[in-house]
Amino acid sequence: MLSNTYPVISVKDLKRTYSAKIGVMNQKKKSVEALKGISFDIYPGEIFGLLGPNGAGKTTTIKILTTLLAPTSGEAKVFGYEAFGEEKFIRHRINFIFGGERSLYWRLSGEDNLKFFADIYKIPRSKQNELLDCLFDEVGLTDVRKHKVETYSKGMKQRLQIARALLNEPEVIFLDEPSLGLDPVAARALKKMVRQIADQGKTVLLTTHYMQEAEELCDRIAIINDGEVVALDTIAGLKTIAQNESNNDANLSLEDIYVHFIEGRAICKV
Amino acid sequence: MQSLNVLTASAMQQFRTSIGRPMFRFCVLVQPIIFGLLLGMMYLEKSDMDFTLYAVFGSGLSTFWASICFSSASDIHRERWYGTLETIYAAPAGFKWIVLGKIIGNSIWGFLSICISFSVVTLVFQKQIVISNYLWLGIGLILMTLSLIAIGYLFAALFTLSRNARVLMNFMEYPVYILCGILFPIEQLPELLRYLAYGFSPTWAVKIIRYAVWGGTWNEVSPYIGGLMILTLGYLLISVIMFERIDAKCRVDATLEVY
Repeated sequence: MLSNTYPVISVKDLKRTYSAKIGVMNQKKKSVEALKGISFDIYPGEIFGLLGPNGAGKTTTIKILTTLLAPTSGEAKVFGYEAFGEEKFIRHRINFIFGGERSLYWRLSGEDNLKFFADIYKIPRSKQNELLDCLFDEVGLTDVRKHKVETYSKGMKQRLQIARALLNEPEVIFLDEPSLGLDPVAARALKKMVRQIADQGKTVLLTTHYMQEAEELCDRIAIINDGEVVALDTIAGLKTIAQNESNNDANLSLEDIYVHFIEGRAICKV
Repeated sequence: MQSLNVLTASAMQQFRTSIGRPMFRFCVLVQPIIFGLLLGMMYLEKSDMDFTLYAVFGSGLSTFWASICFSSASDIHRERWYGTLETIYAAPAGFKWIVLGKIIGNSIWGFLSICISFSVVTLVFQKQIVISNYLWLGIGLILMTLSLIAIGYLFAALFTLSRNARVLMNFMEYPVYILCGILFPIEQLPELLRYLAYGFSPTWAVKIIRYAVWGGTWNEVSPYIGGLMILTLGYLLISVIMFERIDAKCRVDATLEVY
């Protein structure tokens, strides 16, 4: 289904190095290589999972693709445009959610939050009321839309973030650990919403630590470790590789596969 | 039209969010009262003109300046902690417009603090408030507000570029009180510091307000009006250049994030 379609996201030999100063009196510069040359393509309508341990480079990858961070070298393209340098052609067509409860103004109501974000996404005010009604309904927050966000539960804040991310009807949504800290019911509701987003034809790039979530949602998965992609395929494909490499015919779960690629074998770049 | 929507939305969002913070409420609602009472007591035995200039307007200007330091400048830092900095940075409306709207929102509160101190000092001390020229007063207050917006904008640019600019904010508050003639005449300062004082726009604004209180001709006031306008435009120009450079630099240096 993918080979004859142009990728909506294209990453080639992407590297990113962070510099930090250490110490107070005798400051020393320290460099950390967060991405060591990763490559992958994501195609329209896919839910693409990026899995890996903390510090593997998942968030760095997402921040580069969402035009929030510059790559040190390599290529990061969205809709064929460079994420660093051609961001004005990208920003109005994407949106993102970073995990946790941030990225909202807690002292404002849910409605005031969305109205503000609608204005800065240049959505005409004549369309805003109808759009907000629709989005609050979709994320199930209609009853509390006039309440301050600081009174919302974690799950409600996350649902409000989803509504915010859908305001500009993005073609690609980046979800960085969206279910972080959610209870099982809220996490299930979130999964349902992500599935609905994908059913609308939008492309989703998802990072998560929850294997079940990735297994249920993702069409393809890249496993990233220490700044390198160590495996990339469909879940069935990853399973076959892991089974062959470990000479294990047992029915491996995604967690088994993940552990295999992170711990169970020497890194083999794809 | 949409750019105007962005400015008003951003100003209104900031207007509501800022007043929700206890520290900001203290800055713009309580501090003008404290400063007004403090300066009122200090200048009670002085002439009505000195009382008007330093107790009434000095207290208002100093709290306006405090609100610029602790809101417009530090709001970028606060947005970074809220996690909203990245969201507004990547919004199609343009980061510089959104930030400008926020600073306008804060400045409305800052201007209100002048009104509060004016009312408190007038009511409590029952001294005669002397204003010899309302035109100079109007021009001075309007230009001063615009100039403080420009300074807030400049600070916001610095804060976007550097996570350590918070030090600058704390460093800037008191020197302006001392250098700019807000609380006492700059003629009391050593000559070298007086030259330095003219690099800060509040010094020029205070001079215009001084002429509003003491009276003065166009020829006397116009150099200060011109100086204040040039400085304000200079601040704005530097801010705009910085915002142009920010777009690439803060992504290279990764300063949009908390860590």
